[in-house]
Amino acid sequence: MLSWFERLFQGWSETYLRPPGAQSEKNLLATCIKCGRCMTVCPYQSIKIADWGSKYYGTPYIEPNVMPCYLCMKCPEVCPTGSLRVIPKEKVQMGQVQVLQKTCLSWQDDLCNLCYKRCPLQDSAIVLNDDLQPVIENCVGCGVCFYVCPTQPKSIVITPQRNLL
Amino acid sequence: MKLSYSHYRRSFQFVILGLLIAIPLLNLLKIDTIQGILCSIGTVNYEITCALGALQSMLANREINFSLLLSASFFILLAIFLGRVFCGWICPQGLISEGGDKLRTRFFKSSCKPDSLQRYHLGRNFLLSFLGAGLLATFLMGIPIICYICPIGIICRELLQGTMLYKIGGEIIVVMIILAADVFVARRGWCRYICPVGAFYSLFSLFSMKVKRDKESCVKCGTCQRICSMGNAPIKDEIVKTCINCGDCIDKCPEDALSFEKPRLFKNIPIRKTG
Repeated sequence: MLSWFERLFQGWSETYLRPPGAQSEKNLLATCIKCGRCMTVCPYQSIKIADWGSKYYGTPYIEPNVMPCYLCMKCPEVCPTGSLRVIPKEKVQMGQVQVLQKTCLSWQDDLCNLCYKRCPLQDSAIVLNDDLQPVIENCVGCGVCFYVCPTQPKSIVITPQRNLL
Repeated sequence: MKLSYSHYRRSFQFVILGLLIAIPLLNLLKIDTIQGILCSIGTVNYEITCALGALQSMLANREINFSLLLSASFFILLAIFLGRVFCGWICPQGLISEGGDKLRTRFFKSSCKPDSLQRYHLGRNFLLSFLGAGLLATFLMGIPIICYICPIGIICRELLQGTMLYKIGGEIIVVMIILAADVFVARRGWCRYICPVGAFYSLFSLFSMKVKRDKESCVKCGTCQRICSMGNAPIKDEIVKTCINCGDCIDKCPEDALSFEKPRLFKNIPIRKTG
């Protein structure tokens, strides 16, 4: 009961990502009419709708540690207001990613490379240094590498990109 | 059994409610050609968007979006031809409020009086001022304010999240408050005095379908005035823009003196009479 009550006013975490195709945070907050179509069309159920209690209510978000975005780019097509714009997936800007070389298994000469294997933009977002160590290059911040990273705590840090344009 | 407007209307309301649950269920089964709620519903290429939401989205972003205008035009055309039928025939909050109305008549039989003319005009001014204030705040603050409290969107979103993610959010409290106010404070109070969506559609209903009284057969019993949930008085020909074209007065009229008048824009479109 108490957890339900807490959830009423639990607003928003700054670690949430916006779905692909979102312009700046201001633009998304202004145009989104909270219809939830991006959520229904998402095949991985990555997109969720923010709870009541903050100005982010009803807007879509992605929690990369629960389910990341696989960049299928279905959600911008159904967005009625143009909050999410139809753009090629290489041009998406959702977040910025960093590899923590101190804890990353591949950088400790173990064979892991999970982030490289699962990356939707393989060889563009993550490239391998000496066929082993992952290096971030033109990353769009979908969060898949963060999701699959086996170390605890994660060796990849993802920060949402909110102020574009 | 004779089918009246209220039968058609109630079944239409439940069909809409069923659609709001069936579409997320289809989406769960990975059939996602159609998706959406009353805020915006459709396929990738064809969609219908809530006209007030579209207006707010453009006002807040300060930019005209033509595809959005096109998808919003359906509900506006509906309002131009048929008046506020969205409120009476589609809106899920309207269905809940009607339930509250039934409860209210059961609880307090005596308080179910028609509005005086003065109170009626007050109600209409209230409606329009809430809409105006909401739109002004939307423009100034840059976020669609009315969408945050709109009970229609909240009900649809709750049904959507309830079917897809098995969770109900706290915003359902808004619907509860409105229902409680409808039962204990004012009859259909939200729809009559506050709802910005209804106010917005009533702006377009100048030449729309209306209830017409046949003066010869009317015996001035006052049933229509008592029955009208929006506080109109068909007996005095005072049916103005707040009428939601629900057809309750037509069903209950003992002398069949009331009927729907064709939209004044298109006199030639036939409207089927019941009974």
